[in-house]
Amino acid sequence: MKEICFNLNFELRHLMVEPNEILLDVLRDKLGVKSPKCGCERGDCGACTVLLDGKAVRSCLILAVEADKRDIITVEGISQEKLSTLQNAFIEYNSFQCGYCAPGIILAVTELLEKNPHPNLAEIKECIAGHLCRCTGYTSIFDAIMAVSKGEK
Amino acid sequence: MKEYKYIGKSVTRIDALEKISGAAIYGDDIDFGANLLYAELVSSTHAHAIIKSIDTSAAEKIPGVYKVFTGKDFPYKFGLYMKDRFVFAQDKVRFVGEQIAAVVARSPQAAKRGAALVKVEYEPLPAVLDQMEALKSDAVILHPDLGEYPHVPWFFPKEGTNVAHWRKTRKGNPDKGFEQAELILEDTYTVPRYAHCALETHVAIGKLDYSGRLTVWSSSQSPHIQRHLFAEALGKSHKDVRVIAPHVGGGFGGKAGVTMEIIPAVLATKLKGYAVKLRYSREEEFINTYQRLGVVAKIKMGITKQGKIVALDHKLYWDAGAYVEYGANVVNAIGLSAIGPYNIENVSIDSVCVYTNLPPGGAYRGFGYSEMLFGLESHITRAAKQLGIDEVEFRRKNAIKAGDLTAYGAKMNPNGLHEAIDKVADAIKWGEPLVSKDPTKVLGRGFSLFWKAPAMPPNASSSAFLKFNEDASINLIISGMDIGQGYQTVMAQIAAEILSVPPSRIRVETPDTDRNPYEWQTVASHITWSSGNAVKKAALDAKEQILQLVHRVFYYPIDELYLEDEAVKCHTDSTFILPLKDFVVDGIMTEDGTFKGGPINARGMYMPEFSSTKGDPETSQGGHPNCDPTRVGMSLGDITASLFTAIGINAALYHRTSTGMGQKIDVSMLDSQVAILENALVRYQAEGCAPQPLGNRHPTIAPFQAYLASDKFFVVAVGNDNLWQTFCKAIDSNALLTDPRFTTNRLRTDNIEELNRCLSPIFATKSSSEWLRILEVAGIPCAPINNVEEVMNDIQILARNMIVEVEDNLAGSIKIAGNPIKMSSIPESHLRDKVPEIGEHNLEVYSGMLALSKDEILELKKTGVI
Repeated sequence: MKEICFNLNFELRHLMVEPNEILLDVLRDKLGVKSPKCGCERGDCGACTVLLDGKAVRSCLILAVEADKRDIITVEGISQEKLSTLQNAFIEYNSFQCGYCAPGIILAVTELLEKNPHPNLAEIKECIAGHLCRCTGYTSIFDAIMAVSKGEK
Repeated sequence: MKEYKYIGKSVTRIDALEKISGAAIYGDDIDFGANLLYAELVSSTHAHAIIKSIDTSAAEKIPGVYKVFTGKDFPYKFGLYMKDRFVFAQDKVRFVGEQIAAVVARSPQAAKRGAALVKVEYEPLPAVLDQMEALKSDAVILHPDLGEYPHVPWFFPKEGTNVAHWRKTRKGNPDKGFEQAELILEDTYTVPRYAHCALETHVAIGKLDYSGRLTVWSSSQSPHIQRHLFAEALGKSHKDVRVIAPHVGGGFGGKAGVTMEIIPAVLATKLKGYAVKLRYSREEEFINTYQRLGVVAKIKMGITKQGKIVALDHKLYWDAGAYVEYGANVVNAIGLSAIGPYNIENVSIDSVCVYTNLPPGGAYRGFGYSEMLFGLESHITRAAKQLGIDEVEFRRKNAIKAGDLTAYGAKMNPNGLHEAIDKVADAIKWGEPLVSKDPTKVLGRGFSLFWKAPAMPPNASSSAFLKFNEDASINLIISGMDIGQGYQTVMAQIAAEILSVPPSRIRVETPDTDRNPYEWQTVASHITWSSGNAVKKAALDAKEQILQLVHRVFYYPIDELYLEDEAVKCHTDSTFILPLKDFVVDGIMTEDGTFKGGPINARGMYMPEFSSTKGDPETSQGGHPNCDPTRVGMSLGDITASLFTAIGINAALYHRTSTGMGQKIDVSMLDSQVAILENALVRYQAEGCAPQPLGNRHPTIAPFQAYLASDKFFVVAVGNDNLWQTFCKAIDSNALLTDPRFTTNRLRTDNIEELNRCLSPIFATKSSSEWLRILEVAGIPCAPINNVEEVMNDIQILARNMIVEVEDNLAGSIKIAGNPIKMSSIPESHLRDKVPEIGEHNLEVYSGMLALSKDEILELKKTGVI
């Protein structure tokens, strides 16, 4: 066991972890943050994405100890005051169905928009290339992000 | 069309905020505290083998491992439509991945470590991994005791083979149809297995509390079916089994019915007080849940030069996997519908469900229809090309219309198919050239029809509760699953439309079988229709309660009251506006300070009452007894009224002879039809329910109906128990004679479906004329079913002088029916008098029978009387 601490959704958390525990399990089982989902446990699906120091990473491929003294943001973190423009666009464009992939995609695109507020479609596709959605066929997701990119939202 | 306020409009999804803010709770998100245990499965590494021994001792020594369970602990069988599965493999495994044991531990890691240490010793058996191989006569049999498996009555397993179900549908005469065809196209189409790959893997958590109540949290499309199967397998009362179904991260059919969820449910029964979770890995998702069935389809189609499909022979061999408890129903649905959305007169369909040593097949997006239509629509396109007919035109020409008969003999409903073909062809500019602007890309267009037809039990039902809150917001309590398709939102739109409360003010929660009313399953593309009708009824119930209450307090007639903008208003008094929030919970205060009304709680239910699965197993015909009302062959009202009138005239004449008094006779066609209802009125009173359409059988005598011989239908009437014994001997069936289900007429009538299942294969062995000869010799009332041509040439009918000739000025000599009243003193002729022209004999009648003079006749003519 090792003691680590990190900023999770703007709150400093101290906890003991095993050296082989993955960040996804620690967030979900020890810290009660449930929006990162487990879909494959091997980095294929993107459902477990979190922002680590502002960068979208797969929490199933990150050991909890690697997150020591860093900043972690999940969808719970960006929904605290009100929904972001991107989240509202997702609702307006029905960019989700079962909802399981939505938190991961929202975080990946949040990072993209931070760096590049007006991405084109190719950049958007590149950004979410590592995120699987089995329901929508992606079009409604692209539409929502394009609307934000064009400042329509 | 009626203008709707919420239906057909784009509204914000009911589940949007939850799913986009991260608040939505899925199965794996639920916290169970410190007493949560984790299960890990030990899975078969052989496709087919006898389990010789299971050694769990090493696993039990791993720190954190709580207990190891095997098939010995849970000898329970289960299955939705056929009970052919065990919760854990018993003496045999039948596919790689089949669960043999479960290691339950304090942590997932300990459970995994333990599972890796369970030693299973196998004695391998030959495995069959291809359905065509499995059908061969020397194939290894997966289920030698298939004949003993309980199953729904519409499955027909073939004991001693790997055929778990064989759905046969026969219509018309395919041989004749192929003779008429100018093009016969034959080919084979193969579709492999698929996995659903929902993003959320299967997960379920079971808990048996110390009071003995079992709760299962499960990612499911079928919470009520799961509760039912758990209760049934475990021998528990439904009230003591509770299934809670949170949000589902994708279903696509893969979370319909019960697969792995029964494992934590039964594990929990031996782990009182603990919650035990089983969450599938992505790998397990591929090897041990339902998969789409693979299929090999052989199609032979006969078409005329003009492009009319005159015959179809469609044989589908399904790779249904090691257990077919759900998948066999996919096979069944396709066996009824592999004609596709076309009107084809001569059809033969064989849909064969074959056991293989592969994971169990089950529901998958379209329930077999995509697989079947891949072959059929490819075939249609190729046939059109060979005939030189445009493929859309070819489809339009053969597409099924309202009133056409489906392969199983039901009338097609109005369906808009032709309109859809035209609209789609227009929308994609069918027929116009398509030119690619990009030299590296080729553009093409495709066109295909798709239909989805019977896949559910005929009585699959839905229900809904609806309650108003103090502020007139609504909780809609229903049990369908929003697996992403927008179900919750659509249901809210329906309730909103009726109650004038916007969908944003309606809460729809995921179900809990203890609190939410019954829903069959969220499958078969039926939930909007079925649950929607239940919600509609619940909303109408609420509306009626509201309007009744307002009527009771304010005396406005109910039909003048209506709901608009969350208030009750009145057509005749525009000043009357009563907001719902003022009274839907607290009631309405009257002048003396007392209150009327109370919380508005409503309910609705919907079950289809018009379909049946009781078709003939050899043809699938006859499975729709609740058919539309039908006109009997002849004008029964006209004929019976004239017969009763003639009888009345005779009686009146006799009365006049004896009393000298004349009288008026009043006979109506309606009364005449009531008069011939036979014993139906008495049966209604005795049984308390209105007699239903029975097809062509007798209501109270059995067997007394038309049966299909090897060539055509004929009628048998076994009128009493003596005749029954003679009948059984005549058809050489000792089994029927001694069968206790059929010894009395009452029993035979009660068990008519089972009786007919026994008789149909017997009658199919001989032609109708052979059967008629055998039965006539035995003295059993029986008759051929003649067509009109046969009637006109029948020697008995001719000998009775029932076909006579008559001269007609226009038609010449024609044959009509003779007089059925044969009187011994009045001779009959083969010729009838010529039919008179209108008024031809007037003068003879006036001067003869009426004895009028010439002057009198002239006077009558003058005054316009004649």
